[in-house]
Amino acid sequence: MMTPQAQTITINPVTRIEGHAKITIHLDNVGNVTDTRFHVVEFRGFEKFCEGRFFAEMPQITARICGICPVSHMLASAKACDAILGVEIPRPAKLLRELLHMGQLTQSHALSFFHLSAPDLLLGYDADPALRNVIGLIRQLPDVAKRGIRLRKFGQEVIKLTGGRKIHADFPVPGGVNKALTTAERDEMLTGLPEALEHARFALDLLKKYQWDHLQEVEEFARFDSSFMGLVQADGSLEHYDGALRFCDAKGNLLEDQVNPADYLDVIAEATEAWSYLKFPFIKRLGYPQGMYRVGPLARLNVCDQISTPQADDELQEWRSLSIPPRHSSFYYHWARLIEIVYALERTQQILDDPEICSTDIMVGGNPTNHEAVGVIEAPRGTLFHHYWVDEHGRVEKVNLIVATGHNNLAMNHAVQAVAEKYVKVNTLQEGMLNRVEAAIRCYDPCLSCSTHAIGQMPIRVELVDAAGRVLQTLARE
Amino acid sequence: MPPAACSKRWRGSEMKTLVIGFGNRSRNDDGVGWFVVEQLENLALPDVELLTAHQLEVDHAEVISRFDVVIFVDAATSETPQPVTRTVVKPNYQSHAVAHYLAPGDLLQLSESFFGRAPQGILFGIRGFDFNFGTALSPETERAARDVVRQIHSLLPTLAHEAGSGGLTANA
Repeated sequence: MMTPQAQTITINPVTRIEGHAKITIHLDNVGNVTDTRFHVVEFRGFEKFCEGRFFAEMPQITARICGICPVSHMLASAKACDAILGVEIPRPAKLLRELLHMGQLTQSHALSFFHLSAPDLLLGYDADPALRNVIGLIRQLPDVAKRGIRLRKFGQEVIKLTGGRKIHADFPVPGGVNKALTTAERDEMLTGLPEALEHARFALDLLKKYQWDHLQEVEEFARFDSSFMGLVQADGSLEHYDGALRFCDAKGNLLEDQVNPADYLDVIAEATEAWSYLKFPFIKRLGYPQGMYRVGPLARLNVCDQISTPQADDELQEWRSLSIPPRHSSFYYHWARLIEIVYALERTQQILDDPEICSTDIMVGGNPTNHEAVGVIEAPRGTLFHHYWVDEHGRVEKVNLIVATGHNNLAMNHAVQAVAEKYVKVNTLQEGMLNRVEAAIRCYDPCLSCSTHAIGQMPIRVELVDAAGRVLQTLARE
Repeated sequence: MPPAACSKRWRGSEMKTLVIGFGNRSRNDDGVGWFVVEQLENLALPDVELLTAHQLEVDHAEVISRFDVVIFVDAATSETPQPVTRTVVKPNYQSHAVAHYLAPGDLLQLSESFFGRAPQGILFGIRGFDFNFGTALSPETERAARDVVRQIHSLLPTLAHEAGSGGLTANA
């Protein structure tokens, strides 16, 4: 029989150069989980990379951080650049940026749910990993998979028609946008909206059925207490493009409200850990690490009072009727994500119906007038901060980016720990553990795409290593 | 990720070939796929469509389903023994846990599953040495990339025969 001793389990979950992201699960000398660490080692280098560039280049440069959410980076960056110019962009330009954002929200959430998470839910966490993926979904539930494709495609079309390209559209620029919407483009989007909404509602029905069939699992899945942060409108409604910051604690009490996003450093601070290059933001008044908070769809629905579009608000009220908010199970990220797709589609309709949407009043000019500026939006995965300092010529001196995966850094550690405590037994990796660790992380849909992806790496590996460095057991997915 | 750039040079031949160069251009050698596509574009090759992408995404499944052959060009890690590897890619979906990107085999499988057909695939892996932030290729990687451009150029006339005879071949 093996003598229990201190061990470390390491999970390398993504194919990145030299393991740019991994999970370690630390055990004590009798095999109990004592700590978990989700390591992400990106972004800081990118901030350095931006120094010395002209500020107006920043939307295009930072869009290349990520192949999945370039729109989010472009918009946050463009807002920061507006602030450097000290201008208020024309209302039609703001509407067009928000329209682009709604397309991004739709396509990103559709990818997360239909392609990454639906196989877990519809095929089962314990299904063979070789089958528990989108290909298995296509084989077993082709209608679900096709709806996912169609919904994502609609979101991409909104981005393409609004910005001129599906990816890296050079559309949001300091002072506005560089392309007006034609009536033909508007009408094409309007034509596709009803079908997209039908797919979103179909997904919501699927998820609600799963929730009722697996009530206890859903409520307890990677559950832990935390605070939450998100943008809200002045009346407390859900907001993604503009608005002010709101924080609530684990019981739903307001900690801070209507915080000007430019003053975010008055409320949150960033801690560092030797084992990760990614900082750990926390709520100052609660201290570190007690000030852990979550962002993203779950956080947004937990902090807002209502949603300004009717169908999404009905869904929010139903979501809240099941128990006293805030919701803490990580599973509820999925549900919140689908409610947000409904919101994004309804908001798309509202924007397209606006009489000013095809206006050509889309840009104001100006020169750098402010040394420091902050741009904030709610990206699909959570609150995204772009904070720039520039010299008198507009040259970037310093950059601070806080991305959703950073905000959720501590929370993902807790989510993995909640799963690990249940599935890691003394000296043995339970078979269900890897599947559920993956599923817990997928709830947060962390964006690790921002690194390189060069071929030749192993997708996922879990190693159980004793204190002497011996590998006791390995679970790998090639 | 959907197409980032596409140059149409299709002249009506029955063999439809697509070259996709993908990678992160802001990570030095990881952007070598883009470099290869740009060099091919300068050659103005007939009967070939060119595409660049930050990473392969589900949307590309629909794009590649319209082609007979897809040539993927990507960076390879410095552990790869040869400067250039040429591999035949078959439809083969792998679980990537929490990542959003797809590998060439994933994309072929998605194309087959969603659209009922997958093109034949070739992957050129070009060894990279510097994946730090920046937009320049290392000299070794650039040399290898230029070799890949020559290989693709000479490969194109044979693709119709190879694909038609039931299979492409892998060569270093």
